[in-house]
Amino acid sequence: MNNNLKDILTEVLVFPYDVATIENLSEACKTYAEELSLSEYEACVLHLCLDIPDTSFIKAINASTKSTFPVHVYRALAGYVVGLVLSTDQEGVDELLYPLALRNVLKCQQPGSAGIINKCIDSSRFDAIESYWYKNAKIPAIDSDLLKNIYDKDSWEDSSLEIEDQFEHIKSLAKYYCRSEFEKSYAAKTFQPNQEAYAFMNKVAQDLTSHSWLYVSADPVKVFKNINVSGGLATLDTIKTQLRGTDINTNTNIEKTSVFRRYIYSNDYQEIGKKRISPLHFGIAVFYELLYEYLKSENYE
Amino acid sequence: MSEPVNIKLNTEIATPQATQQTEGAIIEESTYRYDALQNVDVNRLSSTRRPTLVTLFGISECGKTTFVGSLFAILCRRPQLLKSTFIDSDTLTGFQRRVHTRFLSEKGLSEPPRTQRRAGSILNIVLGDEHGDNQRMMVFSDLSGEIYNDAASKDEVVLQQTAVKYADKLVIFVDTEKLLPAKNNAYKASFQSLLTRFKENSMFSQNTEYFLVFNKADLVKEKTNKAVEGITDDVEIEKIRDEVTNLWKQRKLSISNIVSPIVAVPSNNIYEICSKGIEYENEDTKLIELFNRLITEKTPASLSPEYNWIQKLVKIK
Repeated sequence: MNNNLKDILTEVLVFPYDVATIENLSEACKTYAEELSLSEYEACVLHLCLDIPDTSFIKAINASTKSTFPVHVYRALAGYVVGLVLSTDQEGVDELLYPLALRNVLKCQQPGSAGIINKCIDSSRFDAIESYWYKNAKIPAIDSDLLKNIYDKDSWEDSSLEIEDQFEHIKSLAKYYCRSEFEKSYAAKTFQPNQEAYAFMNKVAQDLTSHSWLYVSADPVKVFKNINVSGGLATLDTIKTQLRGTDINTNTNIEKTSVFRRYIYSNDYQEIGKKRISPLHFGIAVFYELLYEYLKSENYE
Repeated sequence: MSEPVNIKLNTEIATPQATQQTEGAIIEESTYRYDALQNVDVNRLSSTRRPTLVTLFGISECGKTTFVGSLFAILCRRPQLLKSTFIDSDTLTGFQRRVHTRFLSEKGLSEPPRTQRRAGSILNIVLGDEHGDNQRMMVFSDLSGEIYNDAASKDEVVLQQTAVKYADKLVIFVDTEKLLPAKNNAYKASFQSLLTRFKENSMFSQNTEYFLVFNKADLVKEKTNKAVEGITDDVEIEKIRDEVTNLWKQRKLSISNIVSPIVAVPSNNIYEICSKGIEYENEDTKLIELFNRLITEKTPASLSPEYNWIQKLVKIK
């Protein structure tokens, strides 16, 4: 994978640009990628995969190159920037979240982006990220009594826990659910017990987003501050209602989880994507991805 | 209160209005809206992925414009033949102009006005499947035959033809009307010269799919019919038919011998068509087959399975 911009642009251009234009664009992208925030990175991911234009990025490229380009060119450039970011060493939570966000969105990419993705993102980079995931997202990060307390209660309020105090735990739990816990506790179970997981994850998300402090607090939750999940038609509550239907068989469960996937990946991104999506929501999205794949494998494979 | 709008009804026949010309601008450039585009406009056609570029290649009067006009007429009239839905075009005027050209040519009302040397040559269509889904854009390069005539002797003209170099599908037209007569050496020489010059300038790509099209192939049948006119002996008629058939085979072979050292054309990419053959419910089947081949998009890239780590995880479990 050489992340060659000229080659990437052939995915959208009928006639290639001249060398000088390519170099100009390449420099502009490198400059932009040098100091990229999480939200800017996510915006590029959304631009690449879901074709949600990142106007800040477009303006930055225009300012840097002193020129404008066709809309589809910016999508290829966003892919180039994502590839550049992944090719550098990320540390800590960034290392975990950047690729996680990307890989979730990759799964719902729109027609026209696959060619760019294949050319600009080195999938081998994900192996290292997954190793990191296994080592650092273990359940011991959360006290077992706390976990039991959460499980035993019907709602977050019943647990008498302060959500702000438990924020890091919740994040870990969300990550944990995405992988180990699902495999260990839910993979062999039927749908009914899984309802607990749906309910729990939705409650966490809903409780979390219902707290006003979330929108004004500084780091580490500042990335959440522009989220307004209840602003769109497809709210978490709606999704929860859909998922918690009692008379649905496993086949329709797949459809139900698909509803959530579409929500998380499409409606959600298009509604709130422009305001960025939170790492926690990505965690939840992964959880549903696993559940969806599991249900699918149980029925069709 | 807003100012009244001064509306002037125009009862005259519309004529194209001259646009402001920049220095050195070309006088033949179209002033109609939605007319054929120039090469420089192609990258600005809005599409989620790279459109498929089909380039029509051949010296003047070989029927390229009639061919693309017929394609548009079929898409409007009987799209089911092409298993496609016509959704949109940025060059509707350009297409209509070509349909009109085809109409004039068919009716013999006047000399078909050939594509202007400097007029826009790029036409585009957005197609969907029979249900209008899976939309994709096709771009056609219908360059003036005179430019190809010039290219046969000028390298600088050859190098300007980016639509040849970056074509996904390139259709090489052979004019049966000029190939069929005994005195066809001049035609074959110019045909060979054209191909050779593009080859020598590395304008033919290995990524391109090549088609060889003998257009106006109905003239072969016409020639046979003329030859047997007034003859009543069946044996004699059969003999004459065989002679014309063999003659036509030799002619085609001579063209294949010119083409094969230059570009690789698979045998199933060689067609004999009549580009005017779109009479309703009596369409030229080979023409329709070729249209179908040309508007079929190369399978778009799908995301590599390496990226689907969740699927992998479930499998491991």
